[in-house]
Amino acid sequence: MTNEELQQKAAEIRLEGLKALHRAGLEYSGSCMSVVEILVALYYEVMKYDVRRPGSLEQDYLVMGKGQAVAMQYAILADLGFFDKAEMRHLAKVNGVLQGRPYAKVPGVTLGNLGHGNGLSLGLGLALCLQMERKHNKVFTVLGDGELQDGQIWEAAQAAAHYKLGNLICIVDDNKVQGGGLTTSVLEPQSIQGKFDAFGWKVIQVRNGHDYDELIGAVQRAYTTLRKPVCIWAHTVSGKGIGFAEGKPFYQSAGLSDQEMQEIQSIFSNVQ
Amino acid sequence: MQEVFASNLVELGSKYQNLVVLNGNCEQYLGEFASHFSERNFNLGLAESNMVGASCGFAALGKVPFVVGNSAFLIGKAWQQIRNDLCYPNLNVKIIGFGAGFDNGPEGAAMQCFEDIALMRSLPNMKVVVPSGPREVAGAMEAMMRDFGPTYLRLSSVSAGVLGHAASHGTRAPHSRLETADFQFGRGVVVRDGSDICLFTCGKMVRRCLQVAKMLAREGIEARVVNLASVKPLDVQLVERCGKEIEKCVVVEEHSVIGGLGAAVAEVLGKKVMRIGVADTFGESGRVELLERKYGLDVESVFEKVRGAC
Repeated sequence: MTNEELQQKAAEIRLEGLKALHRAGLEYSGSCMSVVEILVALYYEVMKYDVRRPGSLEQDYLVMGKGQAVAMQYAILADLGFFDKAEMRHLAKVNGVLQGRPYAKVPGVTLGNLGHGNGLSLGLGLALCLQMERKHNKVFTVLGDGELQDGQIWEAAQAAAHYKLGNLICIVDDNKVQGGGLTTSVLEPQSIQGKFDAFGWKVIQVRNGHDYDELIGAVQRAYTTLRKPVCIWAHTVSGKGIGFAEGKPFYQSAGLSDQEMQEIQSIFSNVQ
Repeated sequence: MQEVFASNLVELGSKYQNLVVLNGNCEQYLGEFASHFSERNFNLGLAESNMVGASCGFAALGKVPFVVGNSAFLIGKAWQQIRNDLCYPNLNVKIIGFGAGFDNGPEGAAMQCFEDIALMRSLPNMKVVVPSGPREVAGAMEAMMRDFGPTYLRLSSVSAGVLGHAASHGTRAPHSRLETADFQFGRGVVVRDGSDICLFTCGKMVRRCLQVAKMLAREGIEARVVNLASVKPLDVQLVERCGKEIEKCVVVEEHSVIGGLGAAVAEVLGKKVMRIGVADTFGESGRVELLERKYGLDVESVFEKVRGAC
């Protein structure tokens, strides 16, 4: 896809994802917006998979660490045809399959992730298993910056470096905000670069995590790194793409009112 | 129990190519598996939460991970991962906990564990197995490989038991004929019949209950002893039948009286059941035999309590 097409795709995903999020009464609209380009780049340009054969031997894997933004992943999976788009209407509804957090029984989701800090361990397990079987599939794990406060991330980071998992790529969606305020004021994460460095990872910084050339370039550089896990540290903006929410800590973990949803519909009127 | 686990692990490892082991820096439990199948054994260090998370990755790709650790830390530290990452999507991971009960005597309360059955039993999809001796361990491990879904296998040492020394040194244990080599999920076994009082039990307390039954017999009390190695799913029919046939029911287990087998049996029977286990308290450092005496799990203490109930 060209960058314009990817941008168009991202707008569609934003609108579909937010509509579902709003309908479901889910929160974290800001957190959802910051990760859209990362997911669109991975699903539409980077990762290998076959929609008709989920679980095929050649496919790459994605673990959605920041589970609060799952509406965006579901919107993409629906767009790709993993399940019917009509399913999005039943996101987080009783008897629906689309749970409010990534769930392994949803087509296209290999492993659900239902708690902050758990995602990297799941990715580690997949990567370790693939390495054991001498396969070349890649494992991507998308983490939020807030969940780097969780100790389990660093247990997994340590193990990934110890086992020299060159097939594991972790993307940190560093939108600088978490539910409760600025990440720096909740619990200062210190240097993400320095920490992953110290744990034996290669760190590739992406200055603008909404720029496809930068994101895809970073993944290509990651592919050339051997016998070392890679952290792509992407700077992003919470609420990206929705003027009134951009960079505002409030919207990071907030849902959307009906009025705000109307405004969003008008922002994306060209998509409809 | 360690030797039995290790030798069976090697056997299962050769039989099932998809068996992998993730251990939390406790390769001493694995015996020759670690050297025979080094490419399928991963030491993930003192980081139990991550280990359980990683096991889910293996399971998602069709492997059957045996996650081996010390119960107190494995169950305690990784409970949330066992719940969310493992039990919720119903993945095929086997949790192997060593050192439950008073096993780690000298180490004291932090390393001892009397809450693990309660914590595991309350999780949907999780099965709980507490084998009583070497043959049952072997049967349970084979059954776990054939079964699908998360299982907690609680292995506490039998060598601490009165009759257990022979078993841990490789010779035939005096009571091994009473165990069930063909372990089945959801099946309890009456290992001694009687009609005056019924002792429901599991794990290393099975042997002790048999001893207690012998002592009771000398006083003219015939006790039925029921081995409920499959704590979950529980043999509800057998428990109900015993409860109907025998008025007085006692549960004996090396676990807290809260939430363990005693609770499981009481939930089924709906009548007063005497629970012999560790009272609502922490352990302490000491030799295993002495601790068991102090906390009322040795043969004499159990005998006194059961006789009192008769």
